Amino acid sequence: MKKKYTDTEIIEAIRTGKSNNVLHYLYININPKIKAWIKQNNGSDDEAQDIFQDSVIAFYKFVSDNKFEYGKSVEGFLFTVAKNKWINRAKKMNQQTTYEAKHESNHYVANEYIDFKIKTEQEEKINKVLSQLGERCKELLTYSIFNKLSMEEISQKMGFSNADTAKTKNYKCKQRLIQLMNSHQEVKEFLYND
Amino acid sequence: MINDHLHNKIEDYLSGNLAVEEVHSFENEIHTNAELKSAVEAYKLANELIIDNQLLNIKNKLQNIHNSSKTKNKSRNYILWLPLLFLFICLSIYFFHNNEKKKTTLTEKNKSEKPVNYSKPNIIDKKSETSSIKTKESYEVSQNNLPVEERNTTPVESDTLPTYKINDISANKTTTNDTINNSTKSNNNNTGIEKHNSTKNQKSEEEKLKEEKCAGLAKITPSVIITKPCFGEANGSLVFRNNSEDNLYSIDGGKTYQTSPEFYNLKSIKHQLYIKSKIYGCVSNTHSGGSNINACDYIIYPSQNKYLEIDFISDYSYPSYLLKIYDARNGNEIYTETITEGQRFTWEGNDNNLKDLPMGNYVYSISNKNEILAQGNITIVR
Repeated sequence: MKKKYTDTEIIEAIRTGKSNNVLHYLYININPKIKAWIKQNNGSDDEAQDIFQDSVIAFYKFVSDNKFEYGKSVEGFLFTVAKNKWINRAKKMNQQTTYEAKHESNHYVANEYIDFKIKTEQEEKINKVLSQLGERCKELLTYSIFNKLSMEEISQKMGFSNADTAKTKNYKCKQRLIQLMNSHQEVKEFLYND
Repeated sequence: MINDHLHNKIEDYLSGNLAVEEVHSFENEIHTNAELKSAVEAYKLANELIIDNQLLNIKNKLQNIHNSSKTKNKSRNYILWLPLLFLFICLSIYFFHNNEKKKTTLTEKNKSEKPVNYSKPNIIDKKSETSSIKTKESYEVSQNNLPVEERNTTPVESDTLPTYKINDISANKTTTNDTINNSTKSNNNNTGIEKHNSTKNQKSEEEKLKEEKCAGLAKITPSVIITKPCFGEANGSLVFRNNSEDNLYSIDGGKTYQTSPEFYNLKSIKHQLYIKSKIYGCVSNTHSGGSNINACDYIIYPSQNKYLEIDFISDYSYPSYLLKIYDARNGNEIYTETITEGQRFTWEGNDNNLKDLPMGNYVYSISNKNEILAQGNITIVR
């Protein structure tokens, strides 16, 4: 594992789906700062961990959607998201706590951050559908949908002979996933409600 | 089922790759065509499912990192206390013996020094006991590599070709013929052998040579010197010990033979050995061994930016691999990472919390879900 990542390296790693090390890196380097801030503001250890996880997920989603602007500080982004999430949560809980009036100037609108709440039984349903889809299809679709890699990049990553093979497989995997979802209507329902 | 063309169009639409006018016309189509509308919805949901699943993965990974760092902190506290506990035990033993020493000095003044000698070795003994246990453990880890070599070093004796008496061979032949005849024709048994023996006596010198050679080969169990390949590389080699220009060599159970007794560029060292006579075509005994487990030792120099680098490009084409690194002294797992096929793995000699590990020996293992694919030693030099 590399010890230091530049912001560009972090974003590139997430984009290309090699982000295990990045997660460790973020956990070790950024989590303590967020945790310290949340604890200062009457949060518990568990709440801090929760907020950190949600912020990282929002960050990944941002990068995946190509919304993250190159040149922005990753740490700054995570910190801002974490603060906003904590403030929102505190508001919901009707806590009368005072926060620093000024936050760092924030280019992102607070409600743009996804609130990622999936219940355990929903997770099980997702796993059920995807286990029927198979590992390789799941991997391919993740590369194409989440990481938005080109067919060329996917064929290199997965050892296909060329981009056309990747394209055909992508088509087949997707049709298969749609079929599986048709036979598992309950998965569709909670995705609609999101 | 949606056809290929429509599939591409929906994909382009959802990923924002359509031009503005195309988007408008496609959206108009969606409004008028209910079937298309439901198809696009299905695509959207499928995408959402994959994205949610990936986000779940990330969440779970973060949770795992969190949990493992929690337990590690706990065990670290425990590790801190261990030496203190050990020190306390040592001190108490020392004082206990000192007390005994005082008692003995009171009774026997001449032997006053001896109890001191007794007490010290006692402590040293305890230390050496614990350290011997530790080395045993580390041996067990490293011995996992050994059986492959052991298997190959056992049949070494066959370096020189023994000479055989022709009579012996003919005797051997008759006995083998015996068994065949017994199973097929039991009545003509005796006459059959007599006839065979009489023809054998008339055999030419060349045939005798052939029999001699083949009988010699039949008694040989091939053995090889092995260099184990590294994971992801084709740098293994196999060299037959019993080499002669008259022979051909096979490591794949006799499917293919080559004239050279040296096999290079091997990705794994699982083998079934045969030696075949070039002229007569008869073969030796077989010997199979080796394993699919690749073993390669690495030395890394983090201060000189020389790290462990393994390319996870293999014939296995498993979707992902699990790499673990253990401390060779105590077998503690100190580093874990999941690596997908096609990735280059770099390790800079740190644990999962990015803390630098001290100079010393470490053991790695690479596995898929079911089996170990590679293991060996890593030495960190600082």
